[in-house]
Amino acid sequence: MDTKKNLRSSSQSILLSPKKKDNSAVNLGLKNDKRLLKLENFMRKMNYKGCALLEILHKAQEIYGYINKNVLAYIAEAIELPASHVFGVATFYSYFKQQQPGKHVITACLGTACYVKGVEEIICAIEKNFSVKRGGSSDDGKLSLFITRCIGACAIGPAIIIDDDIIGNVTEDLVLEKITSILEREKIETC
Amino acid sequence: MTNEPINLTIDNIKVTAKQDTTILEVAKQYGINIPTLCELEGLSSYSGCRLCLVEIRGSTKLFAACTTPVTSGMEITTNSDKLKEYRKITLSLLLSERTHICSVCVANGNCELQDLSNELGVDHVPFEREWTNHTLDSGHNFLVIDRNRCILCTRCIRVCQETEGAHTLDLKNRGKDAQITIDFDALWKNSSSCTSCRKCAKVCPTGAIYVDDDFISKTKDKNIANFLLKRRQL
Repeated sequence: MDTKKNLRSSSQSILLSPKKKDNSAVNLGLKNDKRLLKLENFMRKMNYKGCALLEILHKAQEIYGYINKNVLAYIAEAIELPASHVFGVATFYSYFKQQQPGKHVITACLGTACYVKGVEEIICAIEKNFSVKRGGSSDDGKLSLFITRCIGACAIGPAIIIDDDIIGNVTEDLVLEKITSILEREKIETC
Repeated sequence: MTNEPINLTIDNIKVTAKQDTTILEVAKQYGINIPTLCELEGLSSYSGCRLCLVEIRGSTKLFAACTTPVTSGMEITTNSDKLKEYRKITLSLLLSERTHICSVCVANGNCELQDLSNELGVDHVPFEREWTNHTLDSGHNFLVIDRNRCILCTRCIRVCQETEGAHTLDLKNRGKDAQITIDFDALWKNSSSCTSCRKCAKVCPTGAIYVDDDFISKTKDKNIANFLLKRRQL
């Protein structure tokens, strides 16, 4: 137990020595804000072990809402894993987002029932009208379009989630109108 | 665990094997040819190419020979008509997955995928081809990676991780979008961990990673090739 404690404190002292920590965070373009502190605390709790990579990535996704390359680099350095390995794991799971999601998130259900009901055409229409691509965000960062497999609302398919509101039996016109009104409301509010 | 030898049959030949050996290793010892693409001696087994699939009597499933350990009394078939057909389909799928055009490939004539296709008689691809347009990175001094020729056997990843220890290469994304990545999706010339050891180019079964440089050592003797050839024939 004692040796374990010693090991832990020594690894902490190396990794948490203020000089190194500041350097790596600043070099990576990360602000030394509360989010980074939270992540650092969690990694310390996990003992900076490589096998805790998935948990740490989960936490980072939870804290930041997305995981960009700088955060990944910071994690890789802290738990001493190869950069390519961390990047590979983070890109394998669709739960981990690479980019910051837009202010408004549209999630289209591409389950079998919704697909049969023609959700594909609606997705294409959204892509065309608001210049977003599935899985990505619009250039102004206002809108994101994600695809999910079955939200369990097959009876009201095709179903689309707009900012946590599930809308069933959607048509192309209805969705486009809804999104336009949301974006316009935002414009008025910012003015 | 005992060290008693295991008796089994491969293609009706009675063979003896040590404990903890795989079917592929035993087959190699007895000169039985099982086609492989991702397997490489000295590296861990990945069983990703699915070409070394064999039949074991008593099971309807197929087993990858490179990762299945031998057990006593196994009756293994390595070359039935069904397996030949499956291997042809697997190769066709590998060929259709990326942009494989032998005539404009650096590895033409020196490619394990091409050799296997010839050997197994894959003369055309019955599937619609993907014709991928992935990135080619030739920024490194002499190493080039063309992801359109990659079959994702992960030999380069394993040699980089296990033999060189750098782990510069890894897989990103998944499914049909899977690609070899360098560090954080960096360009090869910007990689901070690559030691430029050329091992990845050496083990690549296709022309996905190759050395764009002099293959012969940089000697000033112009007749060195002939000299070497003579020496090697001795």
